[in-house]
Amino acid sequence: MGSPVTQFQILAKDPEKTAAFYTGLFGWTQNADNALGYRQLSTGAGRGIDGGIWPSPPEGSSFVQLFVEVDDLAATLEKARALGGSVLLPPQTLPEGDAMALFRDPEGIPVALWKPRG
Amino acid sequence: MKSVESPGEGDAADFRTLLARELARRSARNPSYSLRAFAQQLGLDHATLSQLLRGRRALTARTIEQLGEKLGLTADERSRQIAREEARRPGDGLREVVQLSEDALSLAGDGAALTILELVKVNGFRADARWVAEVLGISVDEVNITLFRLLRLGLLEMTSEGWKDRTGDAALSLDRLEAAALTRIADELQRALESGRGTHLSTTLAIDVARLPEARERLRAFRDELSSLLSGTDDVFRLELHLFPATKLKKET
Repeated sequence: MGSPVTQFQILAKDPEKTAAFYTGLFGWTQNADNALGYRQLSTGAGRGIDGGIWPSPPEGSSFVQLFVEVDDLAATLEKARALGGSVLLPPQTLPEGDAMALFRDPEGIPVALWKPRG
Repeated sequence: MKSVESPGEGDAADFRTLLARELARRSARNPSYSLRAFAQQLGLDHATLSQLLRGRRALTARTIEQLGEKLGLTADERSRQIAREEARRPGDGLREVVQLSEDALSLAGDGAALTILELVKVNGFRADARWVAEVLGISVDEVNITLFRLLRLGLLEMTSEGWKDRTGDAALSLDRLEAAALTRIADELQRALESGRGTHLSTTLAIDVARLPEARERLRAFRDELSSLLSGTDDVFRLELHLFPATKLKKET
């Protein structure tokens, strides 16, 4: 089935301001009605991918991250490590049942792994 | 006294070692076989091969691919060697240690961290950042920043059964939280060093606290002496010296 890129995520030090910027610029809509208060962005285009905004800590930086859907988070992390990446966050099951993990590729870019609930 | 030492410089199966072994094997078979001959067969000039063998020249993916093929490595073996060399690049293995150290430092000033770890044990706890934010009187963004610090440090885990405190302490204090974070960092550091080029030494010992001021002076002097010894322009390394209490027995005088 491959491992599709299913979502982008903007890590922002000022998530509110960032949400206002992108919704204002592109007409995207925001919905944070979920257990993590996660700001989901919908482009409304019907093609391409949707995204979200996550707060970046004061000592962190702002950047855009990709979410790649995989069948097995732990096995993918192990493979990432064997290929020269490193694990940033081991698999976690989020409040609504989806699971995610984070790794850094050999260039230092953080990438999210995603496994939808069910 | 308990001491630990890392393996230090690499291990026996990296690509440079394979090259050196092959040269040794050919030389043993034919005493007149030279570095120059080996270089010629690999399609390199001898100075380049010499630099590669001595670690003075970086092994790029392309070099490993080309030389690996000539040495008879399979495509899979070449890929593994490339990944391994990539992972050894300076700083890469330690990046996570830096990230975790930043997380741990941030926890010290993050009053929400302790409260969240206690809150997950309370009856009626809801695995919902909005609820946690309301209970703590902070924003959802502040909760989520703290949550991810705790998750990265392995002090909290989100499972399908709920959020679990992984600090292992029934009664948690900020000191213990910091100690748990340091343990996690030490594990990551060990992992980084095992795959890297660094050297790690540590010792846990019973001490005379009255001598701590002198010990601090000696550490400063040692840092300066080593800086002077190593000073150069080839590469950048980090030297870290830590001396800290491993117990809560008593405060220094």
